[in-house]
Amino acid sequence: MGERLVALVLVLALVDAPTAAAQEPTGDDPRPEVVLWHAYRAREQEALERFVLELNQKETRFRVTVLAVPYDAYLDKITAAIPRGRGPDVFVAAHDTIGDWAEAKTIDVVDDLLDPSLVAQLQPGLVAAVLYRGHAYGVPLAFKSVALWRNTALVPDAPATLAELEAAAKKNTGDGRYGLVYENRLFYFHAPFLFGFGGGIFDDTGRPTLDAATNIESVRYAQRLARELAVVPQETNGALVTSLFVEGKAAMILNGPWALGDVGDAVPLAVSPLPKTNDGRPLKPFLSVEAAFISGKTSKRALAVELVRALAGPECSRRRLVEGAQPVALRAAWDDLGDSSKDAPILRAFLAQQQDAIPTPNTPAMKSVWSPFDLALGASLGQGLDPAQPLAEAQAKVAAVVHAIETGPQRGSRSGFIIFVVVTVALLGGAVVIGVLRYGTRRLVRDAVRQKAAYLYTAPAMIGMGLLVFVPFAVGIGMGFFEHTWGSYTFVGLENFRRILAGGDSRFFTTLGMTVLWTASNVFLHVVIGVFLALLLSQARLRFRALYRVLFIVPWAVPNYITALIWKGMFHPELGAINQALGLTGFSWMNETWSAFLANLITNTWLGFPFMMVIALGGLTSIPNDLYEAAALDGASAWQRFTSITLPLLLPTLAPAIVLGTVWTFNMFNVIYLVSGGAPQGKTDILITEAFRWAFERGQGGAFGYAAAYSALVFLMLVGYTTAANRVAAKVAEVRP
Amino acid sequence: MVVKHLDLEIHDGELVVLVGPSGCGKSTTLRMIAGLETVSGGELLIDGVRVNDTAPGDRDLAMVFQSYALYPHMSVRENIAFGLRIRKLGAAEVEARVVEAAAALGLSTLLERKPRQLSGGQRQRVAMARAIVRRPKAFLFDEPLSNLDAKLRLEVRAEIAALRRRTGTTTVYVTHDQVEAMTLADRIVVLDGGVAQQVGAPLDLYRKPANAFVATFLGTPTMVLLEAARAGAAAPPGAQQVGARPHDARARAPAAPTPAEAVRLGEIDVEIVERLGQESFAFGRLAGASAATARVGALLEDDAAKAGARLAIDVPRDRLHFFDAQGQRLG
Repeated sequence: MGERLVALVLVLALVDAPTAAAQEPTGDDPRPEVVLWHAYRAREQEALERFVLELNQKETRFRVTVLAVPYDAYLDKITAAIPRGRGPDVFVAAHDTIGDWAEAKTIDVVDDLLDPSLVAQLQPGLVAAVLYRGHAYGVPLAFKSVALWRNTALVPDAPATLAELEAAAKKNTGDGRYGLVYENRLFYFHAPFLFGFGGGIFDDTGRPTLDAATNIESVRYAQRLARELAVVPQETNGALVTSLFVEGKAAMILNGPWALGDVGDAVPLAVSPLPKTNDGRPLKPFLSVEAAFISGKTSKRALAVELVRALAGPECSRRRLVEGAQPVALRAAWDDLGDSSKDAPILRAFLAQQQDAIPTPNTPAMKSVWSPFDLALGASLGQGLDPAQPLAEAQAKVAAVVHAIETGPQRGSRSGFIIFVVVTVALLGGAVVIGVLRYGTRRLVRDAVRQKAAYLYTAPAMIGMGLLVFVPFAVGIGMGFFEHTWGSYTFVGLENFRRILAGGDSRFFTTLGMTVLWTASNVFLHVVIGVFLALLLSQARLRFRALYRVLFIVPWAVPNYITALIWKGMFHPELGAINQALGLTGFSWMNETWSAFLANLITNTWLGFPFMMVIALGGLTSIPNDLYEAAALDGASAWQRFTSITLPLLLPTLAPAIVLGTVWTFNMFNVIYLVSGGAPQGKTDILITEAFRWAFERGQGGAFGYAAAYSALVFLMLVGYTTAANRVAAKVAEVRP
Repeated sequence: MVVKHLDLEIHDGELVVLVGPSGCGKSTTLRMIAGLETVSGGELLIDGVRVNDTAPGDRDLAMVFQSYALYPHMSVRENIAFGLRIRKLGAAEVEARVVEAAAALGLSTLLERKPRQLSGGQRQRVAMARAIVRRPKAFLFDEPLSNLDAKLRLEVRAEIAALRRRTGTTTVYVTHDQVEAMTLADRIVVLDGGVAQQVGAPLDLYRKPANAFVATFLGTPTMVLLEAARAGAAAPPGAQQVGARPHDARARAPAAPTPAEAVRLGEIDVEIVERLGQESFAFGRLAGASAATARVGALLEDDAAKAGARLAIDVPRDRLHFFDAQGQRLG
């Protein structure tokens, strides 16, 4: 059980290279293969892949193999695969990770490719996005930003100013409808206001300016929309924005061209550039430039260059624009758009918006801005705090990261990674040697010879366990002794552990407290509810027992992330079933620690009681009925029978389940991450989600070592707990008849 | 099982055995007395008070289960004391009574053991100790010996008899074993199909079975039932069947004369001879009898007789039992 747990921890803590099956040459095609990765789907994917299909038919110098990678894992895969020589030759991605990739030499400089003649053919303002430290790293293919979408049945004319926007929004708010819907707690969607109010992220020297007065003012304006005018619903997410719009319940939304496919013809749609502030400054969204990048590791650079040229060229651009409804970078392609298609006005609106958009900074420091700014927005919009304080906190966090980048974190070299491998192998090897010595070498050899068949049969499982459990386990433990920044590891000994336990990370012990509270209250409720229902279901008199039993097991059978997302929806302040049923509409569960904790607890109790119920049902059937009859004749009341017969005889069955349930709950990542998401401000995070955030959400190129140390501590705690608990369970089991 | 009709009065201090084949309703009757089954019709009185709706614990009865139903997580001491604790007796009183009950059943050295550390006979005795320690109005035994081997069964049977003599407590005892019934009971109730076939002292039932069912149920080897005509002039009017216990019948050479007080039922070709030591039985089918007729058994006069021999069966006239068309006893 411990090992399985660790595997889970490590799957969360590790990023490993994906397999790139598409790289294997197929058939006897003599042309060298160039591999292209992208993360498009639907119309954009079709347009791109149709172009590649035609290219492959007429291109003589090379042929292209396309791999569509799911968007969620895309950037991680690029980051992990290319340095290990297993990535694509060319890939398409948004420009904002350029800094990291350039630092890690994941992508190659393409100054030669992006010559002035090509630049002249592109929409102005895009090339800046692909420059990093004075060099071009990609060729812009398309651009994306949010713009204002409106349901023309509700808002016939595009609002030109915020005053008009407010008026139109107010008119369309009420009766379950909202005037303006956008993900107002995400920095990405707040950015138009921030830039529109004259704010910014970094000053000219690259220092963060998150707590600037203009930024505070912009957040106050978001507060005005959400809290004062209440035209923006609380706690939105991408799917909710789209679905409210499609249902006609959102008059206007902020969204990008990527959502076009989801909207369809449900409502009369028009898109326009974002309005201006009341003193005439345009709202400026972030601009993402999708560019073609050449792998820093490709061995076919010349061919890759040709492919990138083709992708940026007129034929591909026309297809991506007309067939893929993608706002493309090549100006000439827009002449082919025409006016007949219904996409045309929408695409032109995004083109117009591009004139007033700010390319997302592509520096590594930018990655450390998102999460703190999101938290500040959550505090301001959810709990209604004055933005000055949350923004000051965000500023402090980002400033610390920027400082760390400037002073140069101990950039490990390749040798750091080698030490890492050596340590890992030593850990694994040491474990094997200790095992062999303790068992006895001679005995082992003798057994292996004698029990050949047994070893043969168990070999597949042993190999599987070794690869999937022990290796990741050793790698994870080993990683805890290293500091990781942008792909390089530096050996730091016990520094990570020291920082967690004794150093600056004061959050560890509060998070541990939350984790223990979370685990104890969950397991208590699971057992109480599970045993209670099992007692009811074991009543012979009850009709439809089989039916009830199935119904009660259903929550367990549904994948827990689905259940978690359903509950998350039900806890929505305005639209959720729970608030509507309780008459609490408007009450946000995620704004206070206790209520967010309660939401998590309710969700996980729903998920957890069936397991205990099934175990308890099994335990109950093994208690002979005549014990109850004997107790009844002895004069025991129903409660006395429960406490003196049922409970002590159920305990041996329940004890292992309780141990198991505790371990599961201790690491119940999905519920915490999906329901409360740690809100408010990470106060409901448990150790495992905290470890995840260190690894993947806190910038600095991923504090993998620190997160691995976290995981190792979680593992140690659970090993200790399980050992102690198993001892108790064995004691308890002695009462078994 | 359904108990259709049962009208029974059990006297103070009496040991009544409910006996019958499986499914006859004897356990159900006992469980109704205990309160573990509800009585759907009729009245159940204890000391003249209707207890149909009284909870089992309030009837002041103690039951020994076939499985013993010892609480597996409690020591012998805790098992015995459980009923007293529930009834909130003082600790000293509980301890004194537990010690006394344990001593009475030879359990004094086993008090700290758990049930799973005991042999079958010891568990049985713990179950009995748990019953007597309560000093209830009555003991209820539900096939208490059926999980023991034959030798142990005799011992424990004697122990139950002794215990009951000592305490003088009213006892209702359920068994399917007629030997247990005969040896333990003051009165036996023979049940079949949920109806009491006969109630009475063991010997009365043996000697004067009220009907053909009781006649064949009690006694080993089983009484043989034949057409009444076999008994000739001895058969009273209306008799349909004549019965004779093998113990009462004599198998002797056909040439030997029938004693004056006896009736010759016919001749058998001996199929089996069972020699039990002090007596031997010959079994065979009556010559000229229908195939449906059971094997007839009789005490063998001449021990030398072997299978294959032809022997005559004689039964003293006063040992013959006659039953009418409904199976009811005549005379």
